[in-house]
Parts: sequence; structure tokens; C-alpha cells
Amino acid sequence: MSKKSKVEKSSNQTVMWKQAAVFGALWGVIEITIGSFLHATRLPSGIFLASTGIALLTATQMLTGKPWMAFRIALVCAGVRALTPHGLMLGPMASILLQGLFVSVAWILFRNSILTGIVAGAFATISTQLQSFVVKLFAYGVELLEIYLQLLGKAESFFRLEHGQGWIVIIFYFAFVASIGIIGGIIGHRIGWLALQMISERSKSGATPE
Amino acid sequence: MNNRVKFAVGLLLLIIVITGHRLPMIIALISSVVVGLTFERRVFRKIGKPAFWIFTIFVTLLAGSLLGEDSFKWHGIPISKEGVIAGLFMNIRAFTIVFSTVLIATSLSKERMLRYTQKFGLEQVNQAYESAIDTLPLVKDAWWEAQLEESGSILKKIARLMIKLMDYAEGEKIRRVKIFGITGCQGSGKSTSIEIIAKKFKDERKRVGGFYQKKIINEDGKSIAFDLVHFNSNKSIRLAEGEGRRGFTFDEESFKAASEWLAVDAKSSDILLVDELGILESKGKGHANGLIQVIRNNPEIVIVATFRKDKLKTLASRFLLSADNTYDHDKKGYLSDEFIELIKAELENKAALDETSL
Repeated sequence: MSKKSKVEKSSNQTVMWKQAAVFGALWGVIEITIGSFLHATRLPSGIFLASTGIALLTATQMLTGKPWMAFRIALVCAGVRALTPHGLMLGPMASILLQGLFVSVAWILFRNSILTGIVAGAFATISTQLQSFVVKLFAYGVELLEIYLQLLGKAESFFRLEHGQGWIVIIFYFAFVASIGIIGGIIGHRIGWLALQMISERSKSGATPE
Repeated sequence: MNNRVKFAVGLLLLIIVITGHRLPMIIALISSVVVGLTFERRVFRKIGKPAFWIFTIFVTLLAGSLLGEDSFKWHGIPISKEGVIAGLFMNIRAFTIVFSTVLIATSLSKERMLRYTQKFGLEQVNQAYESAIDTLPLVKDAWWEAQLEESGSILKKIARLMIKLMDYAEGEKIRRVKIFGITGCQGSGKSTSIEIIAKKFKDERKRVGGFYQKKIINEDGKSIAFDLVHFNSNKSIRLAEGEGRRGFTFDEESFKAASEWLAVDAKSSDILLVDELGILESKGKGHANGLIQVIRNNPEIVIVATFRKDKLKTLASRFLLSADNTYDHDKKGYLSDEFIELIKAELENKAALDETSL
């Protein structure tokens, strides 16, 4: 690689990390403020925060148009999140990183299509639910899975449901959870689209940024 | 205990407990408690939460009633001995995993993590963290500016904010309008305060723009009209007329003239004074549009405005006035030097920024 292209690459990397820092700070602000509010109201903060995060990441990924930008932002946001009074919390940090990963991969697959927001949103909110289950499964062992399955069977007989219908209820629950993420993804796509339009109008009018 | 040893012990305990053999699990639990008590008490922080204990009891009871063959009844619930033992071991596993993961996490210091990130070619992550922390207060300013510049839907405002942040990342400055507010009940001296501020800054050779409201009273001492007086030209224009219970009728032309004064003064003044924002402005009428245009076109101007107290909440959100920058006559009495100093500091700050950008 020539010296010039090395310098260019390094400069591009710096701008990309600067963008990640700025949007990571924005996401960090949202996580700290809305997260604390939702936490105080005892609402399921994970799902709503994931949906908000997906909206922001989808919009930013579209706006910057750089692969893995969402993941970089997630890395920064996870670091900022660790500075909150709650300190280092691995659960929320893992959730933030997963959201970044989902948006990055979805954008590589679908680019600026609305599918990016939809797919990433659905996966992100479902993952927040699965994450807590997986953590508990890791901590308590496979016996916990057996307990959950037995409970499901008991619940089916208590509510006089046919065998297997309990799974349908669970699927409906996950569909509801996914729909919250999808809404976030669609809103993010809309914001990204509006921002791209504003930029295109700005370049047509020949105006420099500010 | 050395961080490396702590990490190794944590990892070893984790591996032992994951294997699932009961005797090593008990030994691992005892070891982790001893290590925790001796070297790292933070490992017990997690188990101090009631939710953890509730789940522990819940798991033991559920395991007792759902796993294994029934052997006795407890309050009518069939419980199996085998299930209770399985439940207890599930909890031993969970306790040890919590202890060992906390031990591993505490062994990983921030510096060490940064060293690892550098090792994997992510040396810019550290700079990005620092940059993000510097950016945090700017997000608020950028949002403020985006709201003023974009009159469309909330999504458009967010899109505008994102563009602003992207420009900032590429080296653009985030500018900010500073609005100071003076409020108080009718007759508390808001207009007088504006005049005091104007005189004070004129004496200091600052360029003062804008206008104040002058009450016209009849021989009986009743208010019959209000005029707007332009600070620069001393020209006055009738704002409203009226008498008695019918209230005042506003002259739309006066708002147009005031908007023009503001637009011209904003270009040539250091500070813009506006007296007053009330019911009409809270509905987006009166001086509202003229002032918003000025803010959009001159984002670095310092504005001092008087606000009607009964509409303060709506006006504060429309003009993004913060409580820190508001002087309330009813609470603090006559205008204090402290508030004037606050405005002066902002003007100096703005002048310093202008010099830097030059």
C-alpha cells in the first residue's frame, strides 16, 4: 500500500470513529435518560430501549452509508453506558452490542431498504427477551429448561388448552415483542430517509453545512 | 490479590461449576466464598438484591415440585426430595457463576481493556470514548438548534439533529442561541429590567438591539395603550389600544415593524432585547415568528426577553428557555447584578468564540 493511500485510510478511519463517537454519545444520552425513566416506571425497559436504539442505528447507518458503522456506534455507546451510576452492567452492554451487530448485518444485506429496520428491529427486541433467558439458563443449568417446559405444560392444563397451544401463546408474545422493534426500525428508516433527502436538497442548493 | 491470579481463579471456578459434578460444585462454591471474603467483597454485591433471593427460593420450590418423583406433600403441594436437591444444586451453580464472573470482571481493569483493544487494532476506540464524553453536552445544543431550524414533524427535527451531528463529526461547529428570560407578575418591573439591561450594556459600549414595551396611561392613571419603543432609533409604534373590560386590541402592523427591527438589529447588535412575549406568542402569533426567524438566521445571537408568567411554561418550551437562564421578579425581587453578570459572561464567551473562528 502506498504512503498516500495509507494516510487516506487512516484519515477515513478517524472520521468514521469521530462519527461513531458523536452518534454513540447521542445514543448514550438516550440510554441514560429514557432508560432511567423506564427503569423507574418499571416498564419493560429493554424492549423499548432496543426499539429506540434500532431507530437511531438504522437512521445513522443509512445516513453515513459506511459498513459496520452501527456496530462502531454500539461499541462507543456500550462504553458510555458503563459510565452511568449503575456502573459496568454486562446485560445492557451486551444488548447494545447485539443491536449494533443486527443493524450492521441487516444493512449489508438490504442496504437502505426498509427491510434493514424491520429485520434488525425484530431481532433486536427478541434478543433482549432471549438474552435474559439464556443468562438464566447458563447460570442455573439445563434443569431450568426442564422446569420451564413443565410449567408450560401445567399452564396449558390450567387454562384448558390443548397440548402444544402454550407454544402458540409464546409465539404470539414474541411476535408482539418483535413488532415493537419493527416499529422502531421503520421510524429509523423514515428518519434516515428524511436526513438523506435534506442532504440531497442541501447539495442541490449548493449550500455548505452551516 | 493480583489481577491475573483473580482472573485465573475466577475462570477455574467457572469451568469447575459448568462441568456439573456435584462434589466439585460444592468445593467451588466454598472456594469462591472464601476468596470473596478474603480478597474481593464486591462478589457479594449481586446477591444482596432481594430479586436474586426470590428467584433462588422460586427455583428451589419449582424444582422440588416439578422435577423427580413425588415423595411428600408440603401445604398440599407434592414435593420430591430429588427435585429439591436438584434445585439446591441449581442455586449452588448460579451462586458460584455469579461469584466467579464478578471476580473475572473486577480483574479486568479499564487500562487492561484498553490495552487489549489496542492489541486488536482498535486503538481509536479509546479516543472515540473520550470524544463521545466531550460530545455529550453538545447533543443538547444540537437538538436545540435543530428544533429551531426545523419547523416540520418531530421526525424531521430528529433527521436535522442527525445531520448536525454528522457535520460536527466532520469538523463543523455546533452553534447555540442563548436566550435569557425575565418573568414576573404584571407590574413586577419586567420592562424596567429590560431598560436597565439596555442602559448597562450601552454604557459598556455594547451594541444593543430590539425594543421594549411602554405603557401609556391616562389622567386617571389607567393604562389605555402600549407602545413598542426601538432601542436603536428611539422610534415608537402603537402596539395595542383599549380601555376597561373590553381589553386591548393589537395592531398587526406593529408586529411586522417589530420583526423588521429584530431582523436588522440581529445583524448589527451584540445583544437583542425583546419585551414582551405573552399569550399571542404562546400561540405562535405576535412576535413569535419574527423572533424565530431571527434565531434561525442568527444562531449565535444573545437574546434577553421578558415572558408573561402565566404563559411561561408554553413560552419556555417554544423558545427553549431554560430555568437556569430565567430571572423571576416574584421570587428574587428587583434585577440582580448576578443576572446581568450571567448575560455579560455569555457575551464575552460569544466574543471569544468569534475570535477563535476568525
